[in-house]
Amino acid sequence: MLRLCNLSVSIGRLTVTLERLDIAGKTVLIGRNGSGKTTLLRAIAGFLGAGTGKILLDGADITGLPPEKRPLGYVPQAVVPIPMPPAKQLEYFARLWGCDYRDIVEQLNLQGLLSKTRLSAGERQLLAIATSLLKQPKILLLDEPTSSLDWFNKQLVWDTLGRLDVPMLYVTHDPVEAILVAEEVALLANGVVQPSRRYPRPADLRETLETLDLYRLFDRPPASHDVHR
Amino acid sequence: MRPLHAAAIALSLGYFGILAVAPAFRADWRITPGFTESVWNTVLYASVATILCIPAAALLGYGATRLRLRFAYALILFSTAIPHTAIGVLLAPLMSSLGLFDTPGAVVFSMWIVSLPYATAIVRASLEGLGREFEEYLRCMGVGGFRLLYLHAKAASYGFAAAAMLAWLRAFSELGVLLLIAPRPITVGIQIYEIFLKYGAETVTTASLLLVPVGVVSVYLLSLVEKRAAAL
Repeated sequence: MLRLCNLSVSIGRLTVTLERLDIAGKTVLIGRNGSGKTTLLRAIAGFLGAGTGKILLDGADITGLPPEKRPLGYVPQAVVPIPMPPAKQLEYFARLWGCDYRDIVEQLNLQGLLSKTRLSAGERQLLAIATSLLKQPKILLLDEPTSSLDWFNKQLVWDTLGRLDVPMLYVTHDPVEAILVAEEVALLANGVVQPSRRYPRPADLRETLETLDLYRLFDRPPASHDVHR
Repeated sequence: MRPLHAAAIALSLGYFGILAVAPAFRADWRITPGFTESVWNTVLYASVATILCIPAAALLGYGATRLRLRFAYALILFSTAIPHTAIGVLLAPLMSSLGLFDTPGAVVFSMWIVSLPYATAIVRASLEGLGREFEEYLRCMGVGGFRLLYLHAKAASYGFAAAAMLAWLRAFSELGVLLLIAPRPITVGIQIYEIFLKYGAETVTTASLLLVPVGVVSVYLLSLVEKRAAAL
């Protein structure tokens, strides 16, 4: 579990503060553009110093540790262009962490990806997620991982994340995405992170997803009342 | 044809015409003695200087981009504002104390000194293009030190190739520093200058024109590299 206590992070004129945030499952942090979501995530990852407060991971204080030593995975917003074919990339980092990448490939159903030379943006994000899991992180930090992806690639990533058993802090500005991903939601507004809370999930999430998927509208021939004249 | 199109084409043709076409009408097309040797010398020393330049440019470009060592970058780039003869004057005491005047080492060092700022600038620009997230992701994956630099270089390989090509071109065309500290072994710029002083421009017009294809081929190769980089 990740616990953030009395944290304050500043960059330029922006300051983000929170009193307490515990992340043990899939927590989504929502906030508007420029609210400080990425700033907070980068502070947890160790790229920004926290002005005050503590970052505890499974009880251990990691506040002062450099990013390389923090047992967490970080998937940034921009797709990261690792200059290796997919299989080589997984092999490289698996060797670095002394593990077998084939377990991750099987868990995430990425076999088809390994033989490709050109990946879609969604596949590259999946590869970045799979690679970060090689480190066996205690928590995954995801910074709007689907923001530059199309609907189909978004679903690919959401489905994959849904299968993971790793706690994660998922940042987004999109409440719809939050509904589809989160078990709990925290809000960042006016520089303050409010405590996370569970929310009433739609009774049938799959039906909600299908309703949002307007591409499916064009899979069937239009009925007369469907066509806008 | 649109006016801007026409203006750009006219300017580029005019530039090439002044440098390469007009002189061709005055050339006697006789190769001056020692020209081939000077070209091979220049190619060899420029290549060695470039091989030595790229690792330094990689480190400096990385330092300027990721380690926030912008002052280090400024400490290299300032030399582009100095005439190369002045750089030769500044290097002369060092060359004297090391006994390196008129040696292949001095030639290579001169070329390295003048190429490094350009190579560093291009490496820096290509590393900036990778974005901060690239480094942060790798560091979170436990990658650090020279391994981090290696992966940056691999990801920006086309930028590094462009830096190497431009460093080579800069080294090949060097004259000012070489005039003062390393006129021997003879390089092509020195040879053309010495013959010009002794016999006048007409005698070296052919030799000068024969260098034009070197530039044209190099720039074409550079454009291929840029095209591949843009396609990614």
